[in-house]
Amino acid sequence: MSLLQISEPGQSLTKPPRRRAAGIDLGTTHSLVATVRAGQALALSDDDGNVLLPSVVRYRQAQPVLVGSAALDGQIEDPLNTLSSVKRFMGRGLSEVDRLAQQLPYQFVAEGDEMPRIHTVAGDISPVQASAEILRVLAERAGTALGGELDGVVITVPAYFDDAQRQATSDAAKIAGLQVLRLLSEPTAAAVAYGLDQGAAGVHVVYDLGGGTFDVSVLRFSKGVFEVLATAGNSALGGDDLDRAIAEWMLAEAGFADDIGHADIRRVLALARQAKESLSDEEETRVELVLTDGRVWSALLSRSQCQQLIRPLIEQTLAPCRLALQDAGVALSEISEVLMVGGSTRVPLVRELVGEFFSCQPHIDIDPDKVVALGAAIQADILIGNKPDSDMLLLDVIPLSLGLETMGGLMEKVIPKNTTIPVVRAQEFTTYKDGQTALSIHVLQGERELIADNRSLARFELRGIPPMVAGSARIRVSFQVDADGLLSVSAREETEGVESHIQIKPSYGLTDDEVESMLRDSLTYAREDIDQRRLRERQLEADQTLEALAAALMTDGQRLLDDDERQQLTQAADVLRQLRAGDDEAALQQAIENLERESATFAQRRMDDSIRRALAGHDVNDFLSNDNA
Amino acid sequence: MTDFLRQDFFTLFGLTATYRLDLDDLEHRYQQLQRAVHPDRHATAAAQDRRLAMQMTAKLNEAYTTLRSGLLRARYLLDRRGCSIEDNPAGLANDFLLQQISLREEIEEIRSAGDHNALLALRQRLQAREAVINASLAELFERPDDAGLNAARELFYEYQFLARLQRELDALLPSASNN
Repeated sequence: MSLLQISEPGQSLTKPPRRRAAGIDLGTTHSLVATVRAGQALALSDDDGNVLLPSVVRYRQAQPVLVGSAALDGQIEDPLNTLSSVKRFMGRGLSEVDRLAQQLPYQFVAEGDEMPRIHTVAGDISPVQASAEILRVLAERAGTALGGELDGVVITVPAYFDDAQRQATSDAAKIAGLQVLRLLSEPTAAAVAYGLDQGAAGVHVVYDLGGGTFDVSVLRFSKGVFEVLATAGNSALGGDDLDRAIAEWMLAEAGFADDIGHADIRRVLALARQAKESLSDEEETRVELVLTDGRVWSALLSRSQCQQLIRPLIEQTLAPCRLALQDAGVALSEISEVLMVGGSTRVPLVRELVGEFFSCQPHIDIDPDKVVALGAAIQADILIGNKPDSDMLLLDVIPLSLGLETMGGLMEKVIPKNTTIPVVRAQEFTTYKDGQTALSIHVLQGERELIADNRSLARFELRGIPPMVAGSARIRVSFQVDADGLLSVSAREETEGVESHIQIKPSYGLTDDEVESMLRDSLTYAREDIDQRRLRERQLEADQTLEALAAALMTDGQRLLDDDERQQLTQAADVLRQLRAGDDEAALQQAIENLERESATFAQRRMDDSIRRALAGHDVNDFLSNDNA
Repeated sequence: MTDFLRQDFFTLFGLTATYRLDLDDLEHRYQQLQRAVHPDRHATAAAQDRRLAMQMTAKLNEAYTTLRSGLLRARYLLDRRGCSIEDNPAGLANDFLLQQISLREEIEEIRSAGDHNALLALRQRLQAREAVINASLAELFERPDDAGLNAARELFYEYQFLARLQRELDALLPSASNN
């Protein structure tokens, strides 16, 4: 006989509704979205049944933008306004874009240190905005499939993305109006999709060659924990480059090299891609090039000829593989499996060279185009709280060292690459002149000694240092990298407590105001009022806070709080609940903050309590496993 | 602040402060604690809970990195008992200094001759010495007296030197694939 359950007044015992979460793989050449339904991760298709959304955005005058297949024709008809491969420009400065820019038709606009924009008929567009358009289309697709707006998304980024590139991705999500649960490394996401399928323990390598980026990660799986030991890569090398090598060969053979226009370049690239893809299955293929001016060229391309063209590029991926193994402290013999991810791993030569290097047969069991999105969907489902019993845990690392400029133009590392995140580290510095009252702080990312060889992330100044003899001030610079891999830096003069704090907005990044105004712009088409939207976001936040508190009070309220404390919390929650019904955004915000303040102690006690239980559980497990042995 | 953020690295793992440590047990405790504090476990919690989770996990990671490594663990224990470590320690034993010089010469010879076998042999010798140091440190840190502590410090300097040499040797290895 079961006991009757009686709920506390105001509390309901019904199971919380499933939340809508999705995983998005925002790729260089194509993007896709996946979600978990009935316990199964599933990539979602558009009305025509296509899962892959080409990462192409076409801007038009006074008309809505076109995204995906609808924009593809524009690559040839309207190349200046049709943006593709924007992922390559995320968080990049003009000097880096320059090399790439020469191969692309776009008119880049850049002032000073900014991330360059691309001039189109609809205005100057940041790569971040174009990425937001792609995200929006995918989020809508998932929303339709799940029957309502998404509660949260996991967006994947190449493991080798630096802080500027991650920040740009996070901004794109903000502009698309998405709630980001986590930025997840692509190889780690793929490992999740594989790991849960196969439950294999041991050391695994994920080799991820996408359209425009290359990552390799060495991970250890054990009992639901995925620990990234090391990661390496090249965030500017991918299948696009293979296409380009083949296209250059075709143009040279045809003798068209010097004088063809942008539309024709697109055509040649598309042809090169087709040839590459058909040579995955066939021994030779006929390529036939027809230019806009009527010139025609045709030839046979054999697989071995093609391999000669792309081999040097694929060989470039092996040095990062070697480095990742070395950094992970893992010998080849210890690796149990190599997982292949990314469309470019369909190229037979890639499989062959990777297999040779790791002396094993690489795995391609899951569609290499989908595996990242599937893993992201699984993680999104867990993070949003749909699988409270899951004990899966991902421990990821930063791919590149973070540091500061010191005297002589050298970089002092504060957090070395492959450190597990989240991480907080501090370093002390001092003044080098008598009476020095300000210190300029230059934040860098990279492995080289000279600052000029590393990426400059940000510069800021700590002012108001009390005048002292050189070398006697103590300035503590703290670096904090969160679970999304995003950095924030603060500096503090220890004797007087002067403080300066910045969220790292990379030199090439967008300011908060810019993100805000882009969000505004993007909503013009959606005809949605920005204030309305903000109110709704605040209301969601209020709901989330109230829900979390109610759940916490239910499980731990009696144990961890006394009557007064409980009453005070309940009152603050009531105030918030009342304001939630109204439309005063500012008051709502204040009530949320107030409730957070009131519940701070409770939150801390709950954390400490969960730690005590974790350690107690450890001892119990010990006991059990000894018992079984 | 939570208790966790105030605790020393051993206490937060529920361990007593000794050099002798079962690394498998430490890893198991680390994973259990990660499951309690990691930001992924609090992804939909209120903003302040998420901040707290982030800080606690950062501390947990720091503690794990420190205790997992013999060198860092030794340094942490010395520090904890008020025994300071200097960047350029004075008064080191002559034997130790001579050993440093001869090992440096040996590496230089290997480097210029490109002698792979000699490199692997030296690496093995250094690892054997490291194992001896580890065993001695385990005993020395259990002694409550200052003499034991000072001996531990001497060994720590040697350990640090050997670790640096090993890194240099590893960099001389053509690639990890030769392991």
